[in-house]
Amino acid sequence: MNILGVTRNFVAGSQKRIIRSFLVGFSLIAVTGCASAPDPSFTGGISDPFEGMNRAVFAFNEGADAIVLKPIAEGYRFIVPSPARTGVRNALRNLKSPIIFGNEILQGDLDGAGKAFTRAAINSLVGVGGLFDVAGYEGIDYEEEDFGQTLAVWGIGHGPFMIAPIMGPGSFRDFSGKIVDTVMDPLYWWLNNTDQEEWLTARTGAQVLSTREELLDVLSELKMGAIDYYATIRSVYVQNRAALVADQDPNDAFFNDIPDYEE
Amino acid sequence: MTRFFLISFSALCFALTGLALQGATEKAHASPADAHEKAAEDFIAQLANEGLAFLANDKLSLTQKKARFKKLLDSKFDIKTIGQFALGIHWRNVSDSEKAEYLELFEKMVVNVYARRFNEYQGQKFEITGASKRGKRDYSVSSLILPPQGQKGPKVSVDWRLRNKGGSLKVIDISVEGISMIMTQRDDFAAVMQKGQGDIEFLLTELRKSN
Repeated sequence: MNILGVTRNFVAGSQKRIIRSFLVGFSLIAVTGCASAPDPSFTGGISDPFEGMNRAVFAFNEGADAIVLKPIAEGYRFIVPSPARTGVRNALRNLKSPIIFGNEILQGDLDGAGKAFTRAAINSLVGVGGLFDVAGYEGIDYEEEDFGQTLAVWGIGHGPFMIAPIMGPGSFRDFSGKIVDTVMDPLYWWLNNTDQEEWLTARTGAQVLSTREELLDVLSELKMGAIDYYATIRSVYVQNRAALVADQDPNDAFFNDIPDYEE
Repeated sequence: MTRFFLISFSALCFALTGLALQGATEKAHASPADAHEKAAEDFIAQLANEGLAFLANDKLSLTQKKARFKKLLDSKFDIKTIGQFALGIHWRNVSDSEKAEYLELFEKMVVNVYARRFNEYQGQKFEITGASKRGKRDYSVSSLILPPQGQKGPKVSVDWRLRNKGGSLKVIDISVEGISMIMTQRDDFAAVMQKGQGDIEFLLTELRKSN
C-alpha cells in the first residue's frame, strides 16, 4: 500500500512537472508568437513563427531517421511478414480505444463513441486481444481520434507549427493534445501504479516502429516529389489533421476553393 | 470514487453499443442524383480504364508509358488551372513566356513524379463510390483503391475534383486520404518562391533540375 502511495505521489509529481513546464512553454510561445505575424498564405495555412528553428530540428530528425529509425523500420518490414505487422498495428490501435472513446464523447460524437466501444469489445474478445480487426471486416472501420482533434472540434486553431525532436511535425494544439491523451489513458495510470512502466516504453517503441513502417513509402514519395520537403511536410500535416478532424467526411473534402480563372 | 466512475463508464458504454449497432446497420447508399453527376462518374471510370490499360501492359517500356500518361494528362486534366493555382499569387507577376515555360516544366514534373509509381501497380481494384456537384461548374467524384483480388490491405480513398470547361470535364485536383495534390503543390512552390524572393527564375531552375 505504501509503495503504491509513493508511486502515485511520484507520478503525480512528475505529472505536475510536465504540466508546469508546459505552461511555461505556453506563455513563452504566446509572447514570442505575437512578435512576428507570419503570412499563412506562404505557410500552408498554418502560422510558422519558428520556421528557422523548426527547419533545424527537421534537418536533425531527418538525419536521425536516415541512420536509425528508417533502417530499423525497413528491417522490420523485411523480417516480419505483412499479416504479423497488421496484427501489431491492430493491437496498438485496440490499446488506444479508451482514448478514442473518450475523445469521441468530448467531441459529442456519440455514434463515433459507440463505434469505438463496439470495435474494442469485438476485437478484444473475438479478435484475440485486438490482433485481428474483426470489427473492421464487419464494416466498423477504425477512426483515429485524439485530444488535438477534440480541441479542433471545439473551435481551437492550430497555433504555431512545431517540429519536435524525434516526434516530428505537430502544432502547439496537437502537441498539447498528446499530453492530455496520455493523462486520459487508463492504461497509463494502471501501468504506472503497478510498477510496470516498462510496458509503456515498449508500447511507445512499438508504436513508433509500426507507424514508421507504415509511412516508409508515403514519405519517400513525398520527399522525391518535393522541391522543399519541409514545406511539403508542413502542408501535408495540416491537411491530414483537417481530414481527421472532419472524420474524412467526403463532403468536407476539397474545403479549399480553386478559383475559376476564366470567369 | 474510482469504482463509481468505472460502473457509470461501463453503463454508458453498453448504452452506446446499442446506438452504434443501430447506426452500423443503416448502410449509406450513394447513387448519382442527376445526369451531370452520372457524367462525372463516367468520366472518371473512363479515365481509370485508360490509365489501367497502359499501367497493366507489361509490353510497354517506361518511356512509352510516360508518353501515354502525358497524353492522358493533356486530354483529361486542366494543367493550366492546376499550374496557375500552384503558383498562387505569383502568377500575375510573371511574363507570358515565363508562364508558358513554367507550365511546360510543371507538366513534365508531374509526369516524372507519377512515372516513379507506375511499377507500384499490381492489379489494385478501382471503385467509384459517388459523385456530387460542387459550386457552379465543379464536381467531386469519390473513389476507393482496393488491394488486388484475394489480398488484404488498406483501402485508399481518392477524391477527384472535376470542372466543366466549355462542355467538357477536366480534372483539376486529386485528393488522396484528404491530402489535396494541388494544395500540397502550391505550398511547396510557395516556399520555393519565398526562398527565391519572388523570382520565378529560381523556381524554374529548380524545376529544370528535377526534370
